Amino acid sequence: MLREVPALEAVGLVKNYRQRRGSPGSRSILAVDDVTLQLESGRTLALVGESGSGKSTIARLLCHLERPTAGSILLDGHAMPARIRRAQRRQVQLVFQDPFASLNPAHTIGYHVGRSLLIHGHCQRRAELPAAVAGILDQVNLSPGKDFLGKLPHELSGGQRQRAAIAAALAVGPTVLLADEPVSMLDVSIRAEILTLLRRLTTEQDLALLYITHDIASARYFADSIVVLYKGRIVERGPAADVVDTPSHPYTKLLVAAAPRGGAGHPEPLPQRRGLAVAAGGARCPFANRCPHAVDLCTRERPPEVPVGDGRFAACWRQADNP
Amino acid sequence: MTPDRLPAPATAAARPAAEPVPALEIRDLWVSYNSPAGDVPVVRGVSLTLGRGQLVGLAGESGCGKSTLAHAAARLLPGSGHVTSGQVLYWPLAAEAAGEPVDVLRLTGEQLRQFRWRSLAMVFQSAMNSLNPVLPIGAQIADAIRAHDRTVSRKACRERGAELLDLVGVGAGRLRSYPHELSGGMRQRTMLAMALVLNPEIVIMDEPTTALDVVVQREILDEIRALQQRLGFAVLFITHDLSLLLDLADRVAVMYGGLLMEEAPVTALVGEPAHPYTSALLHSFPTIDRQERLVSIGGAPPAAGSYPPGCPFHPRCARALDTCSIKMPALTVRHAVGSACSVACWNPIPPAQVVGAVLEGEPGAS
Amino acid sequence: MTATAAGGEAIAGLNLEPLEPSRRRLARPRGKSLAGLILLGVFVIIAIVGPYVAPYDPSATSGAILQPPSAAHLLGTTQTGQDVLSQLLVGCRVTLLIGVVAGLVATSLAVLIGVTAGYLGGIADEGLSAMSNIFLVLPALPLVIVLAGYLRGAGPLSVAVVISVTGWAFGARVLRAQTLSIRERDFIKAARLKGESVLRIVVLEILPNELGIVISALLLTTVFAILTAASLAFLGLGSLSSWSWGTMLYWAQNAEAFTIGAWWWYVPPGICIALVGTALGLLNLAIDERLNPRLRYAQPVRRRAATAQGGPTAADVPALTSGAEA
Repeated sequence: MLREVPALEAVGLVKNYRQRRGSPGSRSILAVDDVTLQLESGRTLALVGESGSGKSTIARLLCHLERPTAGSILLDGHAMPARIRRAQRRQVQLVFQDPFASLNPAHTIGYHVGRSLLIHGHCQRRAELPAAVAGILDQVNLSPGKDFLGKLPHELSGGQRQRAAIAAALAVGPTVLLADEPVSMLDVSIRAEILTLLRRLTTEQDLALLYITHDIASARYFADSIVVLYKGRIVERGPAADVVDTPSHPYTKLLVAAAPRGGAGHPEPLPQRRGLAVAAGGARCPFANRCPHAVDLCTRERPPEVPVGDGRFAACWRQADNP
Repeated sequence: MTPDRLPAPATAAARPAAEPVPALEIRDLWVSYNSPAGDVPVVRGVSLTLGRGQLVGLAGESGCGKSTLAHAAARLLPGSGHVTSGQVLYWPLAAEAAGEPVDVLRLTGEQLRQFRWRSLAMVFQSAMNSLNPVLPIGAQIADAIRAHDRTVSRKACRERGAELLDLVGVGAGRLRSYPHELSGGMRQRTMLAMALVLNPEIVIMDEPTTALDVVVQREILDEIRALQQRLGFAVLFITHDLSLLLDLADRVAVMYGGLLMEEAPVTALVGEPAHPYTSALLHSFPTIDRQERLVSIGGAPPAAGSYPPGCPFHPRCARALDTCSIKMPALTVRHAVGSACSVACWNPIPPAQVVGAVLEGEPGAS
Repeated sequence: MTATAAGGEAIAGLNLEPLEPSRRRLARPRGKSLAGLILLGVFVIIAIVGPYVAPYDPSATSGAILQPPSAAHLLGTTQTGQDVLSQLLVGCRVTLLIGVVAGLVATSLAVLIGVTAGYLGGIADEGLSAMSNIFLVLPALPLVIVLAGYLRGAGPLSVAVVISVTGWAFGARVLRAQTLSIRERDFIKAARLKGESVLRIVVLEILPNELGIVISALLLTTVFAILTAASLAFLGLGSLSSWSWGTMLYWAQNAEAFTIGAWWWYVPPGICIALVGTALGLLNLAIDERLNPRLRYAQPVRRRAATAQGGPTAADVPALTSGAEA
């Protein structure tokens, strides 16, 4: 279902971590630098980046675990206030990376899911709670749901725990679901079913899903559109298949070249990690010191996002010359 | 720098003269751990051969016993683990003419110290987080050298350290750097350098690139390959990420439930996987090139020590027969593509039916 | 960050999930915890029934002065002919009472201050931390002595309160540190995301995960309290009106029992204090082991019989020493 306004929209998000006063050489770390993205209901956006790219920070900003230094977040077109209230928490939920840390070891699965229902008023009477919780657990294929009500997290396998975490997030009743590397800590043989589950829930419940990952191959397989992040800035965006098959930005090309090929012939050699020397600070392309195609302009000015095809954009001066 | 005066093994079957002498051979190894329920076997009779200069990958998910196997072979089991039977045999290059292997499990004292790091070195999981944060890496490399050979002078240690850091791509200039001054990738390369410091013939790597980014991971894997071809050591590469091995290894062994399911040259494994687990595993992750529908294996891998009877994979297997829940099949050798492959299965996939077997493994509710 | 972190394959052994606090999982006590429980149980029973089974009134003097243990006086008599055994049995109650009350009060203070400081952070944390640091740095015994000076003649409960004033700071620091660490864990963030209130998060999400530390703090503070109470009594402060083991030591020292060799007077209370401390210590160790399974199975294995596979026999496999990870 295509709506007029995106379910969640981030405009010019900036997050600056200032180091505590008193520590030597107080610097600030710019984790997120002017990020703009849209999440549409019923569709999946993949956010691809390596560690330090800011992808987890973006997730925390989007669900209001942290406040942005600048920029705004719009839910269904409405701007979110600085201090979020409990009722507003309902709309955006996050599935964490580590299924062994995202469930409180002291509480049962029934408690985790039940709290979500109770806090947001989805279940008025206590007597109905177990049935409601069991229903949600069935939805995430933890069947039969009533058997899992009394189980503690350590009694479940990794995949089951992640499903329980998804169930707890779903029980809140969000319109947007953020999944921060939901399968990277799970065994390979059970990843596909978790991803399939997320995709199914997205379509069934018309959720907007943000799939954060460092694995560009699964991003291509799983998502509708993709955004590539480097050092807090978006370097490329577009339909997932197009971007991964024919990357425009040199960093995206690097990611694709570095991805495992699964034995299908020799992997191509990585592009050289050699760019131009850059002065610390100042406006420039963040990739300039590693980019084999860097030119002088790249070290002096920040490239804007330029269109490079059907709904595709890349933040690269070289693309601006040769569209 | 090879050890001398090593004990002869209790029983060492004579190798057929035609076969090349391997570097390391694990024979029918059983490893158990203490637990309140008594002895729990985690590795249940695994045999694996590592040829000279070969890169053998050992793939498996959590609970399969691959880390335990590696630690047992390197004599690094913690106090609660012990080998209950089996042999680990090592053929030193220098003693090849004599043909007498070293029984690793029976080494003691000085012999064990000689063996460790000179013959077999290990790079551990998250090793990059095991560097001493208060010592410069040059000092730590020197420590590694002097721990096994006290006669080496400080100057020689420094030179060797510089040589190795250059070799692994960190650069000799970093000898005085502290670990926190290096990136994750560089620290992992430093661990690699430390493992190579005494020119071992065998290096066991336990998930060496797991915590690293994709690009750095790829660089390190390329580096390992290059070093291996240059220095000639054999590598046993343990990982849960099968996709890495497919681009990297010469041979791949797949472990599940404390047992070896399949072992074959990598091209044979990819092209014609015989074991249903291997086949399903190969189709459970997307790669850049292969984006067809993923297969998910219902259920979950058994936890270490609590394995189902018979073949450990039978509860999740689309091709399971009645025998599978009763008796574990032995690893049988079959020849494909001119090189030995082995599979342990009552109902292996015939070569032509690989695609059909994939479709049988529907993603199901767990 | 690897899949092998997923429950069970990691090299240190099986089933490494720490035993989560749960009503259903009270394992049968064995080894250390059994010994500790039995020992503590003995003293608790004595504390309860002591005054009723004591053969004599502990304050009753008699003519049998400084008698070594005999049939009439199983632990001998004091300088004023009082029966040592009776004093021991009656004194147990006061000693244990002071210890338990002080332990409970101090631990409650530690939880309140430490967890609040850890969770709230900012100014509240700075203030509360400063306060605990001050109390930590103040020398405990002198402070107790000064405070006890105001209570001269007051009962054991006042002594307990005074002791807890000096004993809460260490636990508060530990709990603050633990809370700081738990606060960053994903399940706390998840609770915030759901919209849980701060109070619910602190009490229901954080505290249950700190149960082990709290219990440990309770046990250790109790030991500290008993020792401090004994020290106070020994110095002649604290409540000399009621019998406790510390009081016994005071009178014994007053009468120079050590010099005159009346070992039956000062050795029993000393040993009893030590035994109670040991019992609590054993319980503490046992709880530590339950909560950290890694400590449970680190014993080395010797002489295992191998299966008949023609492999190395028991004599061949060398004893693998614990902690052999290079």
